[in-house]
Amino acid sequence: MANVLLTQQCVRSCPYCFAKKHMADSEPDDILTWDNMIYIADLMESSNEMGLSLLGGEPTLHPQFVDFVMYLLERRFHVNVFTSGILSEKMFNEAERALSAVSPDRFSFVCNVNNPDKSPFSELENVRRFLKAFGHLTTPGFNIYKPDFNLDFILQYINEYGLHRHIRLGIASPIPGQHNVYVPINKMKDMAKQIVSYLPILERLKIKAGFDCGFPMCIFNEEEIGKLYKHNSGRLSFGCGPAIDIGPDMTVWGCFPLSNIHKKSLYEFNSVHEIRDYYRNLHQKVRTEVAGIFDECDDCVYREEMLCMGGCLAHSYNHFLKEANVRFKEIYQ
Amino acid sequence: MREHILVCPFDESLLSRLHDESLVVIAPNFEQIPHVYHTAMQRSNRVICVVVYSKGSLAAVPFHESWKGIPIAIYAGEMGPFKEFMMRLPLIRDLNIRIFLNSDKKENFTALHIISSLHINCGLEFGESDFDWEALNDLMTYALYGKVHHGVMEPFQFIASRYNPERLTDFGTVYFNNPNIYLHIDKDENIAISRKDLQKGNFIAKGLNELNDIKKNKKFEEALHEWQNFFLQNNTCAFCPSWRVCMGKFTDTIERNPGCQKFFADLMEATDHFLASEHKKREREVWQL
Amino acid sequence: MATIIFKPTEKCNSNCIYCDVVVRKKPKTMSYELLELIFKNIDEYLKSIPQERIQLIWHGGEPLLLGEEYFQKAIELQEKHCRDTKHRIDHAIQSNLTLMNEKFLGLFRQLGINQVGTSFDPIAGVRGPGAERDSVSYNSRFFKGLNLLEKHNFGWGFIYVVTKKSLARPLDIFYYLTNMKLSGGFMLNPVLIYGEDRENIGITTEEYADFLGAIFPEWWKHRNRFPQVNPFKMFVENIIEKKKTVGCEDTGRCAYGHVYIGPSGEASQCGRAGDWEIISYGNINERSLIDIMKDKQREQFIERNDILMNGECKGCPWWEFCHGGCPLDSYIKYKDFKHRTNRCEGKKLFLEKYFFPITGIRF
Repeated sequence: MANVLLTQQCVRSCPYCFAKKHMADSEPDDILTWDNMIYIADLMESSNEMGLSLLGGEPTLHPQFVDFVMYLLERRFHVNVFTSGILSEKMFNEAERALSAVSPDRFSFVCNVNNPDKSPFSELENVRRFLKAFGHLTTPGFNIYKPDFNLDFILQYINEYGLHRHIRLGIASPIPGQHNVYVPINKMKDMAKQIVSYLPILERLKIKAGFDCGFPMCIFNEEEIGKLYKHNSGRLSFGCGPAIDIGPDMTVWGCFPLSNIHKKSLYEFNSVHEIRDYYRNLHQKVRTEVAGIFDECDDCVYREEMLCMGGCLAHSYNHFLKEANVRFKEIYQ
Repeated sequence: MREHILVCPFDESLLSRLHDESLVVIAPNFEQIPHVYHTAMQRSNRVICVVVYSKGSLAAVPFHESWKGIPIAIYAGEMGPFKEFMMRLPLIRDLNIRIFLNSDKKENFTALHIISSLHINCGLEFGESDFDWEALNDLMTYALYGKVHHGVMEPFQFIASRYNPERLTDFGTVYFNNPNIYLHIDKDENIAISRKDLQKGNFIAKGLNELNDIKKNKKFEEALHEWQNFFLQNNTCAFCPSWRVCMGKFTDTIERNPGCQKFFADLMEATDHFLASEHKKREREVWQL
Repeated sequence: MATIIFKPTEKCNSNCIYCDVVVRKKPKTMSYELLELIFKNIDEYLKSIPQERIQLIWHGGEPLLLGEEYFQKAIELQEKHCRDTKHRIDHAIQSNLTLMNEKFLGLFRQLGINQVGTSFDPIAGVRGPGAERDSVSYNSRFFKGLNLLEKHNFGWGFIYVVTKKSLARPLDIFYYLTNMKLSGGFMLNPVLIYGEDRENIGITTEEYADFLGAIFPEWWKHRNRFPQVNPFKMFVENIIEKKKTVGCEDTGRCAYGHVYIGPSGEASQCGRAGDWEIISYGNINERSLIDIMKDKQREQFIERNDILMNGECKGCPWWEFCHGGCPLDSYIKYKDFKHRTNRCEGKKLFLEKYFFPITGIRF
């Protein structure tokens, strides 16, 4: 599955946002055109990849957001939209009319929610309106950017708005060379404890928590891994990319935190597999230099067996930027 | 049956005088399409297609179940609101239809891209205004090099599939403007070689009986060989490497809007690619040009 | 097959800039009596060589100026005098098409002609009647003639003569000609000048090679679009495909295969030799065609092969499809036939500078 950015503009200013630099550098009218959307759809279809995610910035800011979704659905794609849930009145009405009745098999939202205590009232109202209309299509997402996070409000959202009984947990990653808020490596075990502390209530409420990429396995002790394993019915992954992101200007990169590194033109590739292979090879080369975010990753048997990828590659890149340029040159491009 | 296909307006009196002909009938409006078709089919006539010329948007076209099975060409001014077009898509897919949008509107290039990608056969009608040759080139590239199956787009498909190095490829055929194949006739039985000529009063003959010996008609013969004037006048187009697939159709605008030569050269390359690839797309049966 | 370049008239309705015939002050036309004698001789010749065929190429001037009656007469004379051999006579014709009509075409069909050779030039002032060479009206009539040919399913091919006027726009000319006749079917021949270059249209063999070289990359890239363009097609056939399809000037075998007969019955080696009045085989009024075809002077063309193979052309890699070129080219420069063509350097230049690098062929 590839991620397609409809726009670089956003409605929020999340402290952990690893797309901040990208958005700051973009033009307001830098939005995906129809012709480029068709090109991307053709590329996906010819690569036999019939699922894609629309994101941003805030994808619903794109004036043709609903049209694009309808178009992609008509072309038999499964469409997933990453959104803040904060839509303009006009867009909300349009989306509700056109999309609320679409089957969850074909269409879904991941609504990345922030703690209500830290959100302005108008934002909250927007999010609630969104969840009320689209809750049946929506998985809540949460980006952890400090170890003492709180998921209680999400549980409430799930119950109140009938969201999918699944929480998509992401870990805020550093943008190499930039300043954003993220969980430092030495605080990850604390974060892990906090995650595990929620498992009992999640199980009581029959809600699953799943990990996005970038979580290293060894921040959890053996007992915690066992609990997570049971919680996820044996499906546990500590992977790291590459996630293919396609920008509105038809550039492509290997994942958002690394969006300034090794950016290529989409037209250089003939298929999605080619893109994935390209970045996989590149990331592998980086991992050859630095296996993972901990020193122990170098000798870790679970990393060698690919049970864990050694955490987010962005941490490794951050590592390189602080040292002299002694490694192979592609790392620094 | 006559060699030529007659392009005529829907006039019941005229149609009553046509027997055993191949016809392209111009319907006055969308609502009358079935009536036009069935009326024209009487008296052993074969209806190649029913055409409706409209300046309105495609989204406003009242597509109808009763159009199923009727070969139709629609000329519209624009696509209109996408959502409204999408609502009509399931029915459009069931129709034997080709949709043309005009090049006068820049947005129509993207609209055709969308329509074709949704597996609807479509085409670009060249309008009166200058257009962007690069945009046309992009559309042609999609039409002929597209990665995945999509609706056929004219006139590119016609040129690529009918191209024969031994003959001229006249894409005017797509718009029923090819005197080798089509003759235009009005309700007064005035005959012309193109719709424009008919509208302007440039007739080559009058009367249905003239059709029987049209090949002996001097004006008709001159029309067939009109392309030679480019050579006699040493027109720029006669020296163009892509003459064979253009035949000087843009000679009037070449000075103020150059770009045709490059476009048609790229089209010739695309045609070579198209022919060489041996890629047979299975299309729905659409009425043939 | 023996080839007769048959010139029953020197009259012409055009004043083409490169023509050697048109400059003649008193153009002659063959009488019916002589025409009859020709057919008698053809019959005698064919009966003397049972398997032989004759290609009779009607030439001029402009042969259509003879009028329809003349061709009708030819048909009758052939019927009368070649009853048993007419099936071994292949007629062909070169015409500027400006006088073509349906009656002529009907007569041609009776002679077994189903295609016409012609010439054309898009550059103004090269072909056309009068001192100014009015190519506008001329070309208009040319196209009318062309349309008639196509209407009646006659094939046609043409020669384009490359002159100094052509050199500035080789690709333009190529595209024009291929647009006129889509798959090709024409030859790009250099202008050949014997004596004074009155109109200043002569080109060197190097200029001709460069003219071809400017076109060749485009032809090679898209040869599927216009396969019938010579000399490119001929080079490809002979060098790459190893066929032997060179023209008469390169076969080395024109000695006994060609003859020219002019309007007064004068005989020479070929059309060019006749126009330039080089070498005479006498007159058919006094000699039979059989004797003309066996004229001892022809031996020098045989000897020429040996002379060149052991001399100027010894070791030349192109011998097999050149044979020293046309003997008349040698005559232009040396006033004898014992030398190789004066176009040798130009041919080599084209091959080495353009043909091999562009095709990637290693000879």
